Amino acid sequence: MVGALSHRLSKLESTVTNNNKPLIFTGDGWEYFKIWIVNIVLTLLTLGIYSAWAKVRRKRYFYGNTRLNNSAFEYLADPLAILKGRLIAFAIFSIFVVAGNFFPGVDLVLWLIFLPFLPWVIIKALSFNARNSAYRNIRFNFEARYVETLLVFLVFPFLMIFTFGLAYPYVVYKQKKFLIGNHSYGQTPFLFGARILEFYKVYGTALLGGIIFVTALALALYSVGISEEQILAYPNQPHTDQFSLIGIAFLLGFMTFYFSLFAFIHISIQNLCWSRNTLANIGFESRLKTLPYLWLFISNAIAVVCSIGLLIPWAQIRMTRYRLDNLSLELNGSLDQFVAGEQKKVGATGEQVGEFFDIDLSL
Amino acid sequence: MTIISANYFDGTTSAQFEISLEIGSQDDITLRGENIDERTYAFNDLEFSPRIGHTPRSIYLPDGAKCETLANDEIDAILHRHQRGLAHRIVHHLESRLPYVLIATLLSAVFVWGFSNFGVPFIAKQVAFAIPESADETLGQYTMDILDKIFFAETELDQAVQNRLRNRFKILTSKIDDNHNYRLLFRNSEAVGANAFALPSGIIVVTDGMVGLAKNDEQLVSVFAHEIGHVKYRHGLRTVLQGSAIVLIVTWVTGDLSSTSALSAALPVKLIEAKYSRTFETEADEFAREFLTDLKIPLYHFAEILKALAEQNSPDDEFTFLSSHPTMKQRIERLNTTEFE
Repeated sequence: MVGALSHRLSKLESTVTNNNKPLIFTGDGWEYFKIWIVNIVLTLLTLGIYSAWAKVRRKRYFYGNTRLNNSAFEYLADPLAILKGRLIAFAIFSIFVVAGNFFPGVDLVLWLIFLPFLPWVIIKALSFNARNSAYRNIRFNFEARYVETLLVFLVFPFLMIFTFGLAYPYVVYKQKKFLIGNHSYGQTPFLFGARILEFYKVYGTALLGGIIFVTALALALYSVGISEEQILAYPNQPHTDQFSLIGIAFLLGFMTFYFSLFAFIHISIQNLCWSRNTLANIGFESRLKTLPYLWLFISNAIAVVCSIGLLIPWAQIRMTRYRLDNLSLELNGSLDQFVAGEQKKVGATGEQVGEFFDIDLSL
Repeated sequence: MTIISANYFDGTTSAQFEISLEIGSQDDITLRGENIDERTYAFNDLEFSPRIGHTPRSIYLPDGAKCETLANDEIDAILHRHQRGLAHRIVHHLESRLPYVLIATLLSAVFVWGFSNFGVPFIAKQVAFAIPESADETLGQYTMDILDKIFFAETELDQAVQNRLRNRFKILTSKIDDNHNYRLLFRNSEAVGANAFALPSGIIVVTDGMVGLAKNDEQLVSVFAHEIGHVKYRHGLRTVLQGSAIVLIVTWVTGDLSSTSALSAALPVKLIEAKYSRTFETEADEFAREFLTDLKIPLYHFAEILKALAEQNSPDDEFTFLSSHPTMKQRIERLNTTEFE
């Protein structure tokens, strides 16, 4: 373990140029597997009580293995606060499930009642996580106003319906700006400098790629002499070998294409958000690439399914390593001048409600 | 005396100072470094972060500053001497030993299996029988209206046939002593074909196809008995309770295990639910067997109608793993063996 760590740390030394500081992830799949499985078994044996401690250990593992310029990130949440939040969130979630099962339709009403609280849940969740994340003994912070949150997460998404999806890149832009721009490190805010046009460029490229692919596919099929009717009639004549082969090739090609598009959009947005993000005199650079990301994604999925879930920890470590190893800071000055903000405690209820209802707030 | 290297952060700025920590004889810790004042802290004034794998360790000083060090073993040694952080040490101990990890894996699997197979059904049964039968009326109150709108048309059966079967049904239900209000409904449906089912409120629906398939009334009485078993043993309520319980448990447990595993939990949940409903079919069959024996109706009538249903349905019935009914073959065999006993 120590050998692997020092190897990775020496890699850090060798790649450091004057003002480019890479993030280094030192997590290890096997080591995390052991933490993960013990988390599961203790959670089960304590009827879920331990899950709060499990969460803190998991996050501490990932944070502690994320190193920048010789020091690590740290997750500081209090498991008891998380447990309290979990119990409240669980009570609310139970009402939803039970009501939905016994009286179909009532859960819809409950959702309508819950909706106005959603912005609050989002703010508290992000705030709890930020305030419990620290680097160099300085905590992060997240602050946002209710109305802004309401607009970004509930109102703007409605725009998409009325614009046939044309507003989608705009909504993504607004959400990323909200998520990143409202964070600060100590008293220093992150500045989100990406422009709307850049988001449209990413989605536009993806759309163009989609059109080219579909046209090429249609031409290819046409040139081997398969007409539209034959493809549509395919399910009715599955016994012809020629057709089933083409069918499989068609399906595989389509899936590969679909996932590459997904990967392309994901990493482009990720790279864009980081590279347009600044913290005082610090810039960021994210160099994720479509094909390696796609390969990681597909091979992880296969590994997890084939191992009935036992390789989940390995897959998570692999993905985190790829993301962080391709992220670096551009320093124009030093990392030393950031000042701590005031200490405020945030309850974990909102965060846990967000977790139970699967509200995805990843950056 | 031990000396370890560390980074010092004062908690007000992000400046990083390389220092050395000297662990004294009383486990007091002395900080020494170029740009900081030398000072000594008593062990009891310090807080230590728990050990997680090989991640760096934090030592929190009383003034809000902290030291970060990779010297995990040295820190563990001090904590051990003072019997501090015992719970975290035990967890780390578990996490770092292969046999424990293997035992943990097996234990989790056995626990999950046992709980979902026996724990949840048992609890759901106790809860269901504690709830008065009148509650079943509200459960799926509108189900019949919805079914009528989507699947069913008026029955085309002769009024005389209907009356004859209703009478047999009434005789049957008069022998059941619970608070359900048992009713027999006839419906016609091309899509549903030959079928019969029960709603929790006591409504038992028989399709025209089912009546047509039966060679005599005894066969239909056997079907009634099976459906009455579903109602009597509260299978509707128990399905809802078990389903809710599984969803809640999976969410409560996986709430922390990231959404990847929540996703992969969807299939097991489906498998568990399929297993539950197979158990209920078996329970309803058991009930019908006893009930029919009491009424002196030979069990081969039940076996015959099941056979006729099996022949009519697709061979899908042989796929026991996901199907909700136990295979017809198993059910018929079970009836036959009882008969010869």
